Amino acid sequence: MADLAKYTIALAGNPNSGKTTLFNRLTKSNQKVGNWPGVTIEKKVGNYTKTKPGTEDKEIVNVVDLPGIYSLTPYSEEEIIARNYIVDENPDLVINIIDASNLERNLYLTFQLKKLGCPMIIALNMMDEVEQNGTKIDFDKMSEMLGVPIIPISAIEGKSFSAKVAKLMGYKSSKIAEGGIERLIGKANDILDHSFKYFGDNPEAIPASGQKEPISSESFEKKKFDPSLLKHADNIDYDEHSAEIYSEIEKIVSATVREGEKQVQHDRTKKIDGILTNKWLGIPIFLVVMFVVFQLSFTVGGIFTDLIDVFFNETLAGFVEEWFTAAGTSDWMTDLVINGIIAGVGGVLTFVPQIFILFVFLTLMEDTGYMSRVAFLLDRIFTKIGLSGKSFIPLILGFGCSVPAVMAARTLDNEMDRKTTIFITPFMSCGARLPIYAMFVGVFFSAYYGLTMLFLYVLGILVAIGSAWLLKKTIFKGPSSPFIMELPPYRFPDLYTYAKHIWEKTRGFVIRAGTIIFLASVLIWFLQGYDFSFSAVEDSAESILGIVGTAIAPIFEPLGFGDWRAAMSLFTGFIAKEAVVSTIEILYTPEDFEMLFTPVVALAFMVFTLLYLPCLAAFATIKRELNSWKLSILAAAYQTAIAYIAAFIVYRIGLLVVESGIL
Amino acid sequence: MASTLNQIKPGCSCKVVNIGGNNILKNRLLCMGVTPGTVVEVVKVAPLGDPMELKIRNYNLSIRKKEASSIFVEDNAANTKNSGSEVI
Ligand SMILES: Nc1nc2c(ncn2[C@@H]2O[C@H](COP(=O)(O)OP(=O)(O)OP(=O)(O)O)[C@@H](O)[C@H]2O)c(=O)[nH]1
Ligand SMILES: [Mg+2]
Repeated sequence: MADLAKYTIALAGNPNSGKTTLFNRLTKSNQKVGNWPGVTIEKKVGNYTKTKPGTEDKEIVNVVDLPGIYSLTPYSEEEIIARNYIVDENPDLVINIIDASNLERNLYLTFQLKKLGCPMIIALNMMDEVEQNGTKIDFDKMSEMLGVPIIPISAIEGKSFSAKVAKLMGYKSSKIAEGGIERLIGKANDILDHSFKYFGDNPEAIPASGQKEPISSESFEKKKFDPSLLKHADNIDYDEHSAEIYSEIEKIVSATVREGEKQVQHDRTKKIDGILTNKWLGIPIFLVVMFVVFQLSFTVGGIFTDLIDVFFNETLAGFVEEWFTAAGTSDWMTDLVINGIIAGVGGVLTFVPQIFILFVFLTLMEDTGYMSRVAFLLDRIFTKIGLSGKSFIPLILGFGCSVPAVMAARTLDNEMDRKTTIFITPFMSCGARLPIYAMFVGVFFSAYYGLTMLFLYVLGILVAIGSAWLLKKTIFKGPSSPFIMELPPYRFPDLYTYAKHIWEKTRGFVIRAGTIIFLASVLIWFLQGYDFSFSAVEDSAESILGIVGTAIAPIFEPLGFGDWRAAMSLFTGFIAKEAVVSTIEILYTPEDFEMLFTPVVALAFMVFTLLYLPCLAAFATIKRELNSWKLSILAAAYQTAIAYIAAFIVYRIGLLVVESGIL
Repeated sequence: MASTLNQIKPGCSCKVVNIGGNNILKNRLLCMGVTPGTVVEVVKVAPLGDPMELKIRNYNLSIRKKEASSIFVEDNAANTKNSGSEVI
């Protein structure tokens, strides 16, 4: 599809201005949006079709969503991606998305884009918020002053479902922006159709409609731009230049904008921040929120977990057994399905409710604007270790999944900070590790579910911070980069997108259970039932898995889990962390499980799985982002070593506590 | 009176005079609108004492005190509100 595209439109604008929201609308995609700067870190391509004017022919228009940039001088990796795309790839049209509630700063990039000379339209987004305040903007005049067509829009509006819910919530829609997206598409198509003709014989013949003066043919010599804009920030000093642009912007804004009476978003944000980033309450609230999430995932998630568990282990297993016996299916097949697949896959699916609740919270954090506040709250701790508070955003994303989290480190301005963050991100306990804790905690610490979880998550954070400190002192030495971060106004999450995100992420886990965990379960079942000559064994200790496991297990003896089954589950955990659960479900009977693990051993085991090397997918991402085998293997080895040490300490202290009879 | 931004108390406004520091920092601040003549309000300081939250050109920005110390300001701007950068 992409290659057949006739035209390409690039979406450019400041971070958090709504580019991805618009992209999703234009291309009917489902890319991630969130109310914090730096959500999009890669270019994403989608497309829509239009009709060639005067014919019935369909033409494909590619739309490219780019990471947000404040200027064409890039500082961090994702900004370089955006800058390079706009400058080097010569899109046929740039749609500059501007947050209308934040005009001055957004227009700075507009001035720079204009200088590049590519055809451009401004989509003035967030008009709903502007209108809510009673602010009036003279679009025609602004368009004239800027020399660029302007179309007011509200990228979140018009989706039938969420629009209705939004109305119920007392949310005001924008009159001016109604139908804005359609107008935007119309305008874009118009320019695409005409600009094509400009290269023909008579460029002046067709003025772009609605524009005061025809786009001069010269502006289509896209390669002609000011090369001084492209040098790296180090070598430039354009003090004068920026100040000049801003004074010009101020002139335009004061001539075209009449501020309204109200400041709805600012007032709301001020009120919320009065509590959430309050001097005394800010940090305690963050900790309490985390604790409540874990507790909720236990109580609410637990209800569903039990139901799913009963469904798999009793209803489904019982049904299959009856059915297979009636059909005369061979024993090995019955065993594979019941003790391999249902135990392995079911064991993981059981914990989907917990993962769901985790994502309900994480996504809420991203969509409301709390994310940047957490970085704000905790930045001081990061200053101490030489990192930027911005590192906390990848770390929090790491609670969901290490893969996007490692990639999010791209938003860090400084290369050493980025590498350090990639190293430590896997210490953040990802969603796939949740089933492991849920399983152990459910059996051994059920009275202290929330606390044990909080302990594990906080331990992960502490180890990450300690490691960052160590890394910045040794292999990733360098000055700490400046911390300059926008704090967006709090927004009510768009319910449709919100629900969709949670659904997508939860679905991801279910799909993994049906694919990778399914295969792993079959493999484990086979390896634990057959020996090296591929004949079935009675005692699984004599199986392939048993023999290899027994050889390896002594390594883990000092940590308390020198049992071969526990050792093997750690190996399968490299495929995907949930596979630890599958392996344990397949290999242990419930009685064995409770006999071989004591609470202390269980805790040491959880600590080990929290910290040891990341799963295959995360490792591959780390390798790609660090672009070095050496460093990524070092990272995995480091993580495993730390896991070993930490589990050892936990085990020994645990034993002492138990022996001393305190507990 | 000239001073640096990190010395301004929360709740007070001031006017940017000049930006020092290295070029990366300087350019970043400039392109985000921290230009000479702009009015900046210090909204608050984070619970652990750093960073600070600023309001500038109608949006909120967070920077560390270290960065703020290279922004020279005059703190008499409380009532000389610059049309474009402060909304009433
Ligand atoms: N009220 C309102 N909110 C909007 C509108 N458009 C987008 N948003 C919200 O603004 C936030 C940012 O949207 P995104 O689409 O992720 O912004 P982006 O420009 O892609 O951001 P980056 O990828 O971080 O550069 C989200 O919370 C959106 O829901 C709008 O028209 N009105
Ligand atoms: Mg985006």
